[in-house]
Amino acid sequence: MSHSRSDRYEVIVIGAGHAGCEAALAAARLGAKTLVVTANTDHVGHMPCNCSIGGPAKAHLVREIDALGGEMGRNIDATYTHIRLLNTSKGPAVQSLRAQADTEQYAQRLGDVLRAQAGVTVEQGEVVAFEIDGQRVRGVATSSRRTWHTEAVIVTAGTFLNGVVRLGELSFPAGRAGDPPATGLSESYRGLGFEVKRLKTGTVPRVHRETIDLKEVTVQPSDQEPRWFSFENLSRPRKPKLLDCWATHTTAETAAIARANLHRSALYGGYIEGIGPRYCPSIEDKFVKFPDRQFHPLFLEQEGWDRDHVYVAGLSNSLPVDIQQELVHSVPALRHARVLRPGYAIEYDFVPPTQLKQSLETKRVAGLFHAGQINGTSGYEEAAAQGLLAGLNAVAYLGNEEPLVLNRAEAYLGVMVDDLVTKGADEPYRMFTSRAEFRLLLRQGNADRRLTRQGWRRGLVSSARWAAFEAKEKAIEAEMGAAQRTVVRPQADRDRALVSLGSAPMRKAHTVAELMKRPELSFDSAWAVCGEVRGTAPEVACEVEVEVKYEGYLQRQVEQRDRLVRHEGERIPPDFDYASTPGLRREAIERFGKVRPNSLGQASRVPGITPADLSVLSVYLHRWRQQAEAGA
Amino acid sequence: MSPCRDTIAAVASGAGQCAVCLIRVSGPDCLAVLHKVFPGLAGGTPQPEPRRAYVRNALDPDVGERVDQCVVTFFRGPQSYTGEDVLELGCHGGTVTPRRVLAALLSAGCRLADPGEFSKRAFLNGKLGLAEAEAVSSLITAGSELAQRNALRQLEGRLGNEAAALACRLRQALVHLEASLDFDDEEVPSLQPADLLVTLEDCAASAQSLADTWEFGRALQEGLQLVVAGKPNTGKSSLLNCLLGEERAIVTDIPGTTRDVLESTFCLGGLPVTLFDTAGITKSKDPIERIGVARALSKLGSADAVVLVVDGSRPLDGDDRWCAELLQRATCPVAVALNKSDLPQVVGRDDAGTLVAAAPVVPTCALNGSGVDRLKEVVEEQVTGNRPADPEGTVIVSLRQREALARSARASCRAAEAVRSAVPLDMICADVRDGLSAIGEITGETVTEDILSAVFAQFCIGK
Repeated sequence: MSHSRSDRYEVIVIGAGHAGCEAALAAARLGAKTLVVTANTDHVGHMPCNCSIGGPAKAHLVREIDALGGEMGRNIDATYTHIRLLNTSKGPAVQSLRAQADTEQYAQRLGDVLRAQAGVTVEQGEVVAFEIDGQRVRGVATSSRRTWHTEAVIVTAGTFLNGVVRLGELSFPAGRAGDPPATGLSESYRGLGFEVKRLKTGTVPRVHRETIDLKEVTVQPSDQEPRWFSFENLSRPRKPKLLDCWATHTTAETAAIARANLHRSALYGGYIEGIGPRYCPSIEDKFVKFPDRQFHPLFLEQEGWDRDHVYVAGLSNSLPVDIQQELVHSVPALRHARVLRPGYAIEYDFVPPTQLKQSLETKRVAGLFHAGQINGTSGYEEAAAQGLLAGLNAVAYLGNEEPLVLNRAEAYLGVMVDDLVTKGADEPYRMFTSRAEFRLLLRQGNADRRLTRQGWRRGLVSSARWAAFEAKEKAIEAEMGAAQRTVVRPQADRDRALVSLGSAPMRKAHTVAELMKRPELSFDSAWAVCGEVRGTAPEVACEVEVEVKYEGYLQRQVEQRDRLVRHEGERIPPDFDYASTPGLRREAIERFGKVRPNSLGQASRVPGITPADLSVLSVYLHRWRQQAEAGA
Repeated sequence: MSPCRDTIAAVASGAGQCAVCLIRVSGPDCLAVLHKVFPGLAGGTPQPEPRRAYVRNALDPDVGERVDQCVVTFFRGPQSYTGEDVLELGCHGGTVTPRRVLAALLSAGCRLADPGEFSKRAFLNGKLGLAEAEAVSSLITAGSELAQRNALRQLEGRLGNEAAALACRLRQALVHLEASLDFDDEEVPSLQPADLLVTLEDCAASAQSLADTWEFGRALQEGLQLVVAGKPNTGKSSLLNCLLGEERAIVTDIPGTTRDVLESTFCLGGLPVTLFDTAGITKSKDPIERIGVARALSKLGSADAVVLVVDGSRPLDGDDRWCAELLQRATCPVAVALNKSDLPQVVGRDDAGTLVAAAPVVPTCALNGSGVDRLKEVVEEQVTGNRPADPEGTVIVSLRQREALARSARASCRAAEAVRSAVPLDMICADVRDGLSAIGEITGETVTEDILSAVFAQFCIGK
């Protein structure tokens, strides 16, 4: 840890959660002198909600962070207690890893990495105001009247901005259970002319592991195969001593208790104004909105090897503590469970992300970047990915370089940022694979192929990683060529092999690639038919198999992507005057004016925009360009 | 400078001698124009009452002269056809009065509207969907009662509704697919491939059958070209006159009287048909005749149907066979009229039937008209073979619609095929998305419909 006497930093990161850590690490690794200001230096990299990382779209984000040179993949690999590959039968684009972390080890390791990083200083404090010079940020001031000077600030405040925890009729200000909220910053934002709105999220009760009746649960073991998030770990053997996850469900009794006490719920008692996430509904919501469902699944996730806490996934609620006890006890496996911590709802301020550029810098104040829940997102992975991007772009800002902007066909991170700055967030934004129109191109398996080059160019990817990546690319190319060139002629033993794999005998000669296209054959079994064992690394074989098998599908998406890129190439000047564009509806003028899309493609995704608005805009852009050319 | 910043005017009703003519004005300056051309319109009040008819004198503001007495109605946008302020003027008809009233409007600052500009503005202002806007144009250009009825139905939003229903089914399939991709099997009901297959096959069939109505829709829209062809002096021109029910072509006994292609229109089974009489096709050396033959041949290339006229009273010769050979290569249907049935016949129906494979033969007499109605029936059957079973059913009216529907059908077919061969769901989903977005092109809506919203509304998601 560097102890600088000076009060000057190149980048200041406010917050040390998943966004803050990635932001600070990225900035410092790119050589910026970086200060992290956090409310509680003991809670760096804390996991206040569930203990899992990954799942559909979220695992993709972790792989993207890893490919760009971020920390999250390595951190979860070092600390997971349970891991599975989900969606194995639903297709290569949606296959995703999900792991459960030892929450204490996860935070410990991330904190250690942060503190050990050259160029990073961590200080405790509550930032209440920004120092602004003209339209540029120049520093931050804390509640204890300390000021630090800087050129770039990244705010990753999580749920701390005016956070209020709600438990039944009870409520108290808090950043999360156990930490004080940040009360000054929201006012500073309003003073600077930012719009500030409110969201809600929640967490579930934790129960004591030894009090769970394991006879009543379905055991979900970790996968037997080795599974790793980080590309640098892919060749490692399976981790030993992995834990199980336990599945169970609510009962009719649970429903009855929840219904009888709705009036005491913070959510249904009318105490909460913020909008909560529909994908992560409270148990009250589930019973009210889906009264016909007999029971709801619950997952019991162990928070660590040496930790007694078990997270009851599915039981998010804002009921009073006594009712939560009853709810927990209505589940057979939890009949005698001891509740260690109740669930609660939390309301907090966020700064609607339509006020950001694609670089995550605010439009209003130069050098001020936002990442994570302040942008209306939810989830560790979403936060970390934005943090990495903000850290990278803060350094680009310092050096007056082009920011890194990823498009919707390149990365889930690109989809997320484009959604945020274009559509804003009416509820906490979570990444889903269905948000990506080029889903087939954005696989967790090819995140390195999509992004390592970008991370390398920016300087976040180590030379060792780059060399490994280049070797993998060469291997893929070689294997692809071999599969396409190797011809297999029909032979009795080969036909027997095919039939035993549930495949039809060959009537004519095939290439190995042609065999691989058969739904029932894999990379390995296609080679096995011609009696060859390639011994190819699984991640290489997997890429070749996907590209060969689904060539037609991937090709169609590539064509669609090329159309998108053309559309995105139709730039709209940042100072384009929508108000004096004749024929544009008043509503469209307002919406375009607020978002200020930077291309016709982005304009088409602004909510509430009609095809007519787009045709008018397109006509005017065209005319505007002609005039500009004529003038030049 | 913008299409929507200036105020446009045009004569909305047809030209010619008529009692009343409608002139329409649309744009932001309607009221200013109104005050210039009809000073003191609302009895001194600054604005006329919307949707009320006033009888007033129209003045040309440039010359200060009265040009006509008009019935003036003001529509306040957006409660108007274009969604902008609109004026409708009923002036006297004829060739001079409307022109002078229009000139007065132009002097008052209007610009002459481009063709279709009122409907374009209505579309841009969200008053008409894309399918409806296309219907307006077909309504105006409708060449027959059936075409007009179809366009009217589309204007009422029938195609839009059918497309929306199709989109709704695809969206529902997509909601199930997306839910099962993004969430655990414990959370959402698992997808039944059999159900998905039924939906996809239905959607593909519906989209394709709508797409297939284009052939008939195009016939409705553009009319058909029916060519009467044959060697010289078989009575083609007489037959044409018979079909039209009027003396259109000059008829003589001299072979080769028709030197050029003659055209005229009539209605066949509700379809506007343009009938072409061509010069007799012969290997003649006469230069004028040769030009006529060349034109006749080129006409055959663009025909939707051909009637080959053969003289039944004379034996078939080389020219007959040459004609038949040319037609054999054509892609359009051919009917053979075995003409001059009033004279002693030397060509049998079977002989005539061998000229062009599968071509029906109808004996006709262009002089007394016998067999001509039968010939019309035969040709009608040939050209409207693709007529939808329900004559009042939805028929699409533009190539753009056909392409979008066919694309949607192809995507749904691919998806169904993928379901059958157990391709993973993420791939199938891509095809269903394509199918849905193609349908969206018909209604003009972009398919950014939030699938996720539907997922959350239908399934209890979340741990």
